[in-house]
Amino acid sequence: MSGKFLITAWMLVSATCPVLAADVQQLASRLAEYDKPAKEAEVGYKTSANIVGASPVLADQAVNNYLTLVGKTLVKNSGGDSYRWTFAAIDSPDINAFAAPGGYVFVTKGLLKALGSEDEVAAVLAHEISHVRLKHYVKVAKKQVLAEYAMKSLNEGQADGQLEAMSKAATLILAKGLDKQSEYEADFQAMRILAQSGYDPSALVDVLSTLEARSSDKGMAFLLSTHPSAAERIQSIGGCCVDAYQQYATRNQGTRARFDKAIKTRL
Amino acid sequence: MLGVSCSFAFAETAKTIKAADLLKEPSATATKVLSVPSGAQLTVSEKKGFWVKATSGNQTGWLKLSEIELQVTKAKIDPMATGRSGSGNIVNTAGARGLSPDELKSAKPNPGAVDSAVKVSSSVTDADLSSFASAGGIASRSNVPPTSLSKNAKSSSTSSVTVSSSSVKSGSGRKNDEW
Repeated sequence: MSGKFLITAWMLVSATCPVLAADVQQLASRLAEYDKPAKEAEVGYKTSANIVGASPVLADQAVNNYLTLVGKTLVKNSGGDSYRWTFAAIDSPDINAFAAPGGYVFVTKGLLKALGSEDEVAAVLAHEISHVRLKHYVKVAKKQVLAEYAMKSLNEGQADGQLEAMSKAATLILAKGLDKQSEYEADFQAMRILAQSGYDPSALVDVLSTLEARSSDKGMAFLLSTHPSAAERIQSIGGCCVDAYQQYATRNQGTRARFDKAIKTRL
Repeated sequence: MLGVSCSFAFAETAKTIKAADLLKEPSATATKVLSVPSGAQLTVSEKKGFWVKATSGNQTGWLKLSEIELQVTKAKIDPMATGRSGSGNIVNTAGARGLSPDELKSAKPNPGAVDSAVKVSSSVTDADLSSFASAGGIASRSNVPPTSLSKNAKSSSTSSVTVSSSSVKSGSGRKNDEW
């Protein structure tokens, strides 16, 4: 929990209602539990149920299996972590991808169809893995839940109430988007994961160039409303890592055939 | 899928932020076409990984993304093409479902579908990963330097990328502390 935010919330509450201030602090310490991977995963499970409730998981398990192989290779080769990862495609023509706390990553069929190589699939997954590892959604959800409670709209007495509130907040944040800084941060982290894993970090720029070229597609509206423009993201990558990462910018030719088989000719 | 494409054109230009060489190929060892000073105006025609193909005067060549500042100008949108105005121009994707923020917020949760997805991913073992990596020639690299938030990213909406748009509003104008 951000100290600055906590102090602001406390000041706000204590100014209007001195009794509530202590409760807010109590809730803040209880919400700190959601920093643990197992608790994050509880939020992520419910958030994912909303994602796949809105648009179903792709029935083609060969595609989901391929995404899992690429995704788990990224996780493993970049040092591993304590999340149990799930990677799946969702059956939507839109161009988008989602991460939910605790290790859930979903990519739309529309985005997969726009990609040209396994390195590009890895780039999309690495961006989403980074959101999870950086706890972006959990951090903002905690702030939201605390703010809601300060407004007395949350029954904090029940543990279920907190999980429900955290999942609802995480879903709303997915719908509304994180701040720009978090997106740049996920891009930079993704570059490193790609380089560590043996993939080509410059593939992320190619994905963004594709998004830029297609930014007037109807299926891009959601992604564009929740992310900085592709041009801004490309520019920030230019500033962060191009010179240091040039040495890793080599496309993997050995993955061409299996990408074509799993994605290109299948979707 | 009846997507809408090319309803507005990108006229993308760039300015060098340091003295740079336009190269014949997107490779550091390629032949130099032309040297340009810092602040040179270029027209961008193609991007490839960390490289950008650009023209200065009548000379075209490749330079690195880290040597330029992109300036994107979106031409005016054709409302007929976007399906946003007028009747009968609504563009739809027949038979296929989109996924909007509202649909996400009002979705009926489907935990069973999450369980199925978890099952598929959980069935991938460490041994599967090893053979997948070796079959594709994917090998982990050590000592990859960390990336850090650059000065560019911190102020990119105002200074490092110029995006001007006449009628499209994207989410990129949101302030960091909205939450």
